[in-house]
This record gives sequence, C-alpha cells and structure tokens, in this order.
Amino acid sequence: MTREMIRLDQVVKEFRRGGATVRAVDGVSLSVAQGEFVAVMGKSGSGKSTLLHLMSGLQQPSSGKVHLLGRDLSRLSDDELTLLRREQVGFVFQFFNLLPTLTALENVALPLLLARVKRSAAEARAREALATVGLSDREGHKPEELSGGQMQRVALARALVTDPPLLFADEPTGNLDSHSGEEVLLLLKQMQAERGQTIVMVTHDPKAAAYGDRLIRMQDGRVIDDQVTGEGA
Amino acid sequence: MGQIYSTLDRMLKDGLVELAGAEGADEERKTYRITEAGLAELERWLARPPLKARPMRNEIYVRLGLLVEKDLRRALDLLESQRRVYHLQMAELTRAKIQLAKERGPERLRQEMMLDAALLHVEAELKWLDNCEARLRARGGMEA
Amino acid sequence: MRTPLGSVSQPLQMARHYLWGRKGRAFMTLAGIALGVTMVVAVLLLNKAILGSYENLLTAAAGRADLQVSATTGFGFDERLLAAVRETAGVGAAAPVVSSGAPVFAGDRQAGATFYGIDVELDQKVRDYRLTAGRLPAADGEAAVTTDLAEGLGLAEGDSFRLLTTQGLKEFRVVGVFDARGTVRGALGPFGVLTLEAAQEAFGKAGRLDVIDVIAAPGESLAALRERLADALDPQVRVTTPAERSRDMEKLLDAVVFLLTVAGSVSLFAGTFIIYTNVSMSVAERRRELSILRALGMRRGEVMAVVLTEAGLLGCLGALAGLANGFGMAWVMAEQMTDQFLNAYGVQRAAVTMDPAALAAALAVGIGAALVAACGPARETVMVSPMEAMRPTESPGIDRARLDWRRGAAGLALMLPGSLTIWLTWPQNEMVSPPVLRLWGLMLAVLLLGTVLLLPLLLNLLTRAVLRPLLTGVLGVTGRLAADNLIRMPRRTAATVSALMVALTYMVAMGGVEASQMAAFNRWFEKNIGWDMNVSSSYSGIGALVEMDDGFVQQLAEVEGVRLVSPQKMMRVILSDGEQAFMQVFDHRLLRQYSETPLEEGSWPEAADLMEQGGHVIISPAVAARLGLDLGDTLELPSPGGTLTLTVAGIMTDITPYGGTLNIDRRDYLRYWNDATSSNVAVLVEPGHSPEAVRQRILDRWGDTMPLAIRLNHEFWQELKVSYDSFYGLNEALTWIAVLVSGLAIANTLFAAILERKREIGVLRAVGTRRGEVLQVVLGEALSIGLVGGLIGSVAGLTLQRVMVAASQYINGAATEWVVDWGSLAMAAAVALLLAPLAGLLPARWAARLDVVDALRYE
Repeated sequence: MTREMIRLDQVVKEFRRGGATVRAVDGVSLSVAQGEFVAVMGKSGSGKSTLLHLMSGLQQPSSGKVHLLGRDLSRLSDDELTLLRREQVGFVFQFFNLLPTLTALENVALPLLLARVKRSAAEARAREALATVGLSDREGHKPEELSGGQMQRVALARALVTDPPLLFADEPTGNLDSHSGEEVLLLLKQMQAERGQTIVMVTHDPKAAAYGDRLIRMQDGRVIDDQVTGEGA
Repeated sequence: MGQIYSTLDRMLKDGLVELAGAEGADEERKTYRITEAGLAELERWLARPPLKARPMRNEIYVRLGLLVEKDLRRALDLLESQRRVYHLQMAELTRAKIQLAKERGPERLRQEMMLDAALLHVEAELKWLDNCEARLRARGGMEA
Repeated sequence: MRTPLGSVSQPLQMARHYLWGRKGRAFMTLAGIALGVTMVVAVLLLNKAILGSYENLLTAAAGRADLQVSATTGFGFDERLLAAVRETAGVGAAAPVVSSGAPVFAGDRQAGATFYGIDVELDQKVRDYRLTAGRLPAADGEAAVTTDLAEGLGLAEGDSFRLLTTQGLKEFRVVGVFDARGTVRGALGPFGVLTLEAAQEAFGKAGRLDVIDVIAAPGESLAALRERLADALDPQVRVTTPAERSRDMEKLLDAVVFLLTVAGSVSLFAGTFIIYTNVSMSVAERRRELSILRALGMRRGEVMAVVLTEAGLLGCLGALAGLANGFGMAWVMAEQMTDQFLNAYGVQRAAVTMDPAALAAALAVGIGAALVAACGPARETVMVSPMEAMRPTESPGIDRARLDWRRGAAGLALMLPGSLTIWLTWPQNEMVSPPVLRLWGLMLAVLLLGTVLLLPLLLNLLTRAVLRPLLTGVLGVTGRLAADNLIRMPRRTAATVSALMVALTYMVAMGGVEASQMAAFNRWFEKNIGWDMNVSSSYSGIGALVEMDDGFVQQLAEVEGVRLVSPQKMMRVILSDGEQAFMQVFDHRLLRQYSETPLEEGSWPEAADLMEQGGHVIISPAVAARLGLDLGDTLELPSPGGTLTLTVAGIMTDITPYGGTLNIDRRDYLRYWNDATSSNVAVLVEPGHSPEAVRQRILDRWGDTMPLAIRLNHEFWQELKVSYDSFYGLNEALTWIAVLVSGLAIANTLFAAILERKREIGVLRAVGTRRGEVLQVVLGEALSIGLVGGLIGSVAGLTLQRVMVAASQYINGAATEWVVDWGSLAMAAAVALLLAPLAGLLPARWAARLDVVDALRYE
C-alpha cells in the first residue's frame, strides 16, 4: 500500500466576516496517497483555496485534524510548521510571488539559503532546478525582466529546489496564457512522473484540472465529488 | 453517389470545371478538369470562415428536454453524471495530448489542433451544464 | 452642478473620513508634525524673548527719555556732568539715575529687585509714578516700591524693609506704593525707588551717576541735540537712544542666538522630515484607492485636491498643537535662561509672547511641509494610468532602485555654494558681524539640504558597497533581503535616514561644542581660579550686583585663619570701537600669589611684574582683534579721571562669552576711578585651617548685618558647570525631541514598507521563513537605517562642531579648541544602533505575525 501523504478528518474552517461566521470548509475528510496528482475544482468561494491552505499548514482548522506526512499539524508550533513547509512542501501561486530584488537563481535558491545551505551548494541545486524548467539562460534575470510564463517556471523551480515530496499549486495557470499554462502543467506532470511527487492543485479551469488523475470538486465548503480521472478510470 | 454528380454538373454549368476528353475505353467514366475560375473559387473557399454553427445533435439535449418537464431532481442528477463523463473525457484527451507532446513528426501539429478542438468542445459542454444547472435551480427555487 | 463650495467641501469631507478611518496612523502623523513645529516654535519664541528682554528692560526704564547719557567706564560717571547736560541747548529735561539690583528683606521674606536712585522732581518729567498710597521718597531712609514688590514682601505704607548696600543691610521705610503697569511691569519686574543721594551711598556710587535721561526741548532735532551733548561731555560717557543701549546686549547674546539659529535650522529640518515621511506614507498606502477614484472619473486635479486637503488638514492641526507646545517649551526655557544667565544683566524676566511671526512660521512649517510631502507621491499616483495603479503591484518600488545621480548632483551643487560662502566669509582677524552669523546659520541649512539630497545616492552606494555584504555575511539571506529593501524606496528611506541623521548631527555637534568649551573651561579654571574661597554680597552669576566697601575688606582680613584677602572688581566698559567689554580689576601683587592669568601671548611672571608697575593691561584675543592690538601696543581707556593710556602686557586665554575681556591693576583703578569698592573678594586660608571652618567664622562674624555669599573653590566650579549645563540643556531637549521624532519616522517608514510588501512577507513565510527570520529582515532594515543615519550624522556632526568651535572665537572671543567628545559620539552610536531597531520592533513584530494567507491575498 502506498504511503498516505495527507489526511483530513472532519476538517472545518470558519471565518468571521463582518459579525457573521462563514464556514469556508465544512466537514471535509479525505486522504491523498503518495504520487497522486489531485486537482481541486470549484467556483470562487467554494472553499477550495482554504482547503489547500489547511492541507499545507498555512492555516489551522477551526476543528478537525490535518495530518501531513503523518504529522498532526495542530500539534506543531509555528516554527515547526514553517520548517515542515521549508523542507517537505513546495508552493506555486497564481501570482508567481517572486521576490523582486533577487535574481531568478537567487529566488530559486531562497528556500535552501533560508535553511542555511552553503551558498555555492544552494546555487548549484538552484541551477539544476532552473534547468529542469528550461530556464538555464535566465538565471541572472530579475523577475521584472521575465515573462509571466517564465516567472511561473521560476516559481516552480523554487518549489522544486528542495525536492519536496509534496507540491501545492494554487491556480498556477490563472495568470498565464494558454500556451504558458500548458507548459507549466506539463512540468508538473513531469515532476509527478519522474520524481514521484504528490501534487495538489487548486484550479477553476477544467482544462488544467484534466492534468490531474483525481478530481475533487467542491461546493459551499463541501466535497461534492471525488473522482478518479487517471489512467484506468 | 448521385449527389456528387449533381454538384459536378452545377460546377460544370458555372464553368468551374470542364470535361476532359474521354480517355480509355470506359464510357461510364467521366474525367473533370478544374478551370482557372475553379481554382480561384477554391482559394476563396479555403479562406472563407464557415458561417453556420455546429448543429446540436447530442442525446443529452433530448433527455434533458424531456426530464425538465417531468422531474427536476432527476434532471440535476443527469447533469451531474454527465459532468463526470465530460471530466473523464477531458482527462483522456489531455493524456493523449501529453503523450503527443513526446512525439515528433508531421502528424503532431494536426493532431494537436484536433485535440484542442475536442477539449474546447468538452469544456464548452461543461460550461453549458453549469448554466443549465443554474437555470434549473432558479426555476425550482433551489439555491445554487 | 458643481458649485465652488461643493468642490471645496467634497475633498474636505473625503479627507475627514479617511483620517477618521485610520486614527492610529493619523495620530502618528499628527504627533510628528506637532513635534516638528514644537521645535521650530520653541526656538523662535525663545530667541525673541531673550533678545527682547534686555531691550524691553532698557526702554521701559527709560520712560519718555529721548536720549540717555551713560557711562563708558563701567562704574558710573561723575555727577557733575548733570549740570553740563542741563546747560546744553535743546535739552528740555534731564533726570539723573543710579541703579542696582539688590536683595531686600522684610521680616522673614526676601526678594530680589532693582532699585533706582532718582531726583524726585526731575524724574517725574521722564517717568510717571501712579501712586496708590503715600508719596515718592524725599529723604534718606525713605523708599517707594511697586505694588508687586510690596505684595511680595508683605509691605504697606509705613513699613520698613532692609536693603543690602555696600556697607551691609540698611533699613528703609516705605513712604509710597505705586503701580507699574503694562510693559514697564513686564520688563522691570518688581522694583523700588530711593532718593538719588541714598542710592549713591547705598551702592558705593557717591558722586556718581549711571544714567542721565534726557528729553529734548519741543521742536528740537534729536540728531543735533545728540551731537551737541557728545561735544559738551567727555569720553567717560556716551549719548545713545535707549534702544541703542540694548545693542550691547545683543552682541553678548550673539553666541546664544547663533546656537539657537543652528538649533532652529536643525529642528526645521527634522520637523519637515517627519512630516514628509508620515504624509508621503499615507499617500503611498492609498495608491490603489486613489486610482479607483480616478477610474471612476475623478480628474487629476480633484484627486490632488483630496490628498492635499488631507495633508493640509493634518498640517494645520499639527501646527496648532505644536504652536501651543512650543510656546510652553519656550516659556520653561526662558525661565531657566533668566535664572542662569540673564539675571546677571539685570533682566528679571524674559517674557515669551506669542506673535504673528511665530504663528506664521508654525503654520508655514506644518502645512507647508505636509503639502510638499504629499505632492510627490500624489503626483506619482495621478500621473500613472488608473488601471496600471490598480493592478496589484508586483514589485513596489523596484523600478526606482536605480541610482539617483541627478538628485545627487543637485545635492552637491547645493553644498558647494554653502561651504564656499562660509569659507569666503571666514574672518581673518576681526570679529564676525551678526549678519554674517545669520548668513552662516542659513548656509548650514543649505548644507544640510544638500546632504539630504545627496543621501539617496549615498544610501544606495553605501548599501551596495558595505551594508549588503555585511548583512548578508552576518544574517545570510534575510540580511540580504533587508539590505535590498532599504534601497527600494531610496527617497523615502533617505528622508527617514535624514531625520535621524539631522538629530544625530545635532547631538554630536552640540555635545562636541559643549565638550570643547568644558575642556577649555576646565583648563582656564585650574590656572585662573586659585583662591580658596570667594566672598561677595548678593551674588548672581558672574557679576555681583551690590559692591562691598573697603572697610569690609579690611575686617575680612582680620578673621582668624584668613591668610590673604584680594579685592576684585568686575564691570562692563565701552571701548573705543563703541562696543562693550568685560573689565576685571585685580591687585596683581596679591593675584600672583594664588592665580596665574593663562596667556596666549606674553609670559606670566613678567606680565604680572608689568601689571604691578601700573600702566599696563592684559587683553583677550577678542579685544586684540577688535582694536587691532598686539603685545606692547597701547590702548586708550576712558575713565572718570580722564583717559588712560595702557600698554598691552599680555593676551590672555578667554572663555567668557562677553565679547572681550581686559584686566587692569587695582592701583590704576583706584587712581583713575577713585572707587575703593570691590565686587568680590578672593580669600586664601592659612595653612592648617579648613576653608569650611573659615567660611563659618566669616558668616558668624557678620551674621544678620550683611548677607554674604561665600563659595569655596570647588563649589564655584560646580556652579559654573551648572550654568553651562543649563545653557546646553536647551540643546539637549531639542536633541531628544529630534531623536524621538526620527524614531517615529523610522517606525512609520517600516510600517509603510511592510504594508506595501505584505505579500512578499507572505511568500517568505510560505516557502519556509520562520517568524524570527521575518523579524530579522525588518530589524535588519531598521538597523541599516540606524547605521547609515548614525554614520553620516556623526561625520556631519563632527564637521559642524569643527566649524562652530572655530567660529566661536570669532563670535565672542572665547577660545575653545576642538575636542572629540567620545561621550556624545557614543550616545549617537547608541541611539543609532538601539533607537532604530527599537523603533523597528513594533513593525517587525507586526510583519512576523501577519497571517500568511491574508498576506498572500490580493485585494
């Protein structure tokens, strides 16, 4: 049996918005196994982004339990959570979110540098990651000198540089034209295939979701469908 | 078979093609040759976008049309199961596309374009399903 | 549909809503503006109060007099000149006056007041006395006092009080009480009048007058009369208008005024900066909001109007608060200055009055700086297309991280004429005139402005060359990010750094000037003050107000344990250049036994020999410069006994701020001034006797008959030190305000920077940056601001100190040398290294505690 990477038990997340309490995630239980590429779909406000934040430990649930790599996130301190993210999790966001003052190479190396990996070693690994996403010739460029697709690939390289077992992507193609979007999705697919990485991707685009091999659809904070779409389905 | 001859006859009348002299013994066989005017018309035809929309032929339209009057709940269930089918289709098409991306050769481009068309059609169907659902729920006084 | 009223009130309302919506930030901005304005107003009002106090004193005392005849020789002039004045054609009335400040006692109450000896009949032509009871004094032993003084001492008509005279306490009876009103009351404080003869006797001025007040006959031209009087009289007096006499004082106060002008420039800068950073931040923060207004169809001008109205509103409120605050501060400082410094000149009160100029300055600084600060960011916002500004900024500020050569060049271009002007007007030998001093104050401001313009460039280069490698080396990638962030908004960061820099410049310069003066003072004191104790009556500051007669000095010598008594006399004389100098009279035969006059030129025992011979003078470098004298040259000095010709026996080190000092020997003084009184007596104690015991014996011996002030050597040192300290206390107060203000600016800048880069912090957190590391990034940025501000501030401060120390000897002739004040440098370093991170702590904590998901969100 493959390893369980993520488990959610009756997870609820509530927000207070102007006096009223809103349930963004309403009693979700699910499990993600190693090597899965899960697409989470839903309209805006369906709770899909919040689900991703909960799974990745960026937020703590109001009730219920989240296990990441077998660890109960509610038992971790903020620093422990941060270290978990630094070492085991990679993130790709809709708006690339690169640091504008750093070059592409430095942006990619950032998680390693934060982990106090020696600069030369960090840069060597960052170079490798940039090569993986096909941007070896852009390593000295600042984000402002890159196109959207290139920025997202740098962001992807940053997410991959620590070779994390888990990859979270929040609308990674949302701000890209279809061609750049496809490139990024193909890269994600490639990571899954070659490195066995587990990927959870939130998207509202069915075309992007079709790259996953499992599709979770959400509505009003609940999972309304969980369907295997991969080979042999 | 008859349709093509009537078309050819009309083209002959319009001077787009002409009859080539009978070659060989077979009397039944006619050979047409394209004229200058015919070539010009071909160029125009290739460049002209087709104006007619794709006709609606999917069974789902029919079933949905029938269920709407009968049972709203079942209509919605139908939408949902259809949606799952479409997602599966998209995933399959996408896999083909990923596979294709690894290949080289002259066929790749044409196939990619075909796959894009198919994907976009399924996407449109999915969107249509969403719209239908919204309408049905509005009609039934249900929440979205 | 838009009415003129509508177009004004609409931005006003929007501004009000905005400010009310962000009370915290608005309050911080307001506090910044108020503090800035406080500094400016306090300096301005204090300056005016000090300058005005002496002039008010003299003009109030002069009554209706058109001209005044006053002594150039220090201790009054011959009363026979009164007859000469009265006989001069064109003189309508002439009233003689003798005056002295003195302590008064009634029962167990005590007060200090000025007493005027008047010719009752003549005086009423010049001054009005609104008697509320009794009459003016007509005989010896009678006095009239102001209602204030009567109240202070609990006196009524017929009661008696005791007045300190040169012979001890003497009893006077109140024969009248009068009401001094308005400016007279404000300027003179409580005072009393005696008959002329009584006052002459009481103050050791028998046969002498201090002033003759002259009223011109109707239709008489003042200029002509003045000339006629000057011709008729001799050089021991001069004829001036009452206001002109106050110029002597102005000269003395030049040093103070110069310091205050520098303080004013500095505070103006610091104030403007805090206002600038605060306001520009609040505008930058609202970039998108303003762009939405633009997209909704507001015109550029209208958006500008909204922003400027808001800034103007803040500026106005802040200015008013600062005005009130500054007034209070000036008031407290004026009290202190009066106690420590101005009392010695007979000034009882330096009245701080609010005037339109201060009001205008406060509003101009407050509102002006706020508007200027708002203009830049507001223009930036309205100039970009609304859509572009509404787009979530991917990288705020990164586009402006380029090197700002143009501004740098402008800064250099400003610094050039500034330093050139000071260099070109640097005096060769003569004293600096007040206009030049003011010019220097202005040029210092120009230099500061230049530095400020140069700062973004400097900051950029410094960060790249030093800070980035340094921080990266120490903190790793978080340090690197901190250094990078520092130069993303170079102008704003530079403004913040400027505020800190200016505060520290001021701190280092003033601390250095004080240290230089203290060093000079200590050296001077060690040589110059060799007595064991100093005895005087009614001692105030450096000059005693009531002299002591010779009989007292003789008796003092007979007290057991006293080895030697040496009468000393201090007075202010007018030299041939028409300016004032401080004259000290010593018996050099005695003086050389306990002191050495520190000489710049000439050598001591020889100079003392010459002084003993008579006919010699020792002068300060300022007097030498003013009159163009050198060793061996001769100096003409007017005296009641005719003009003396004295040979310069030495040029002494001088640390007093009186614009020039000269020492003469007591034998010459006795001969020419015919005055045996002394201002104070230096006492040496027999070996084996303790000074404390001798002091007690002296106090017991005179007891109630004469209140004496006796200072031991170390007490005197302590006292002078305290008056130095209180003088520099003003500067210290201003320094700390500036420091506080720059701390606010740093916190504000960092808050704004974090707000703008919220998402970057979210990313950092998401990819595995711990809270502590985010803290490091922000604190690293704060520390860098501190480092740069501290570094540049210290260098600028040392430069300023150098200039001020060098200038001080041309300003008032006091010799000081450049001393590096490690104390204030250490303090500046501590402020730079502690204040900045401290100010950054709150923003840093905020940044570290940001919710990651919230920070990542786009809205």
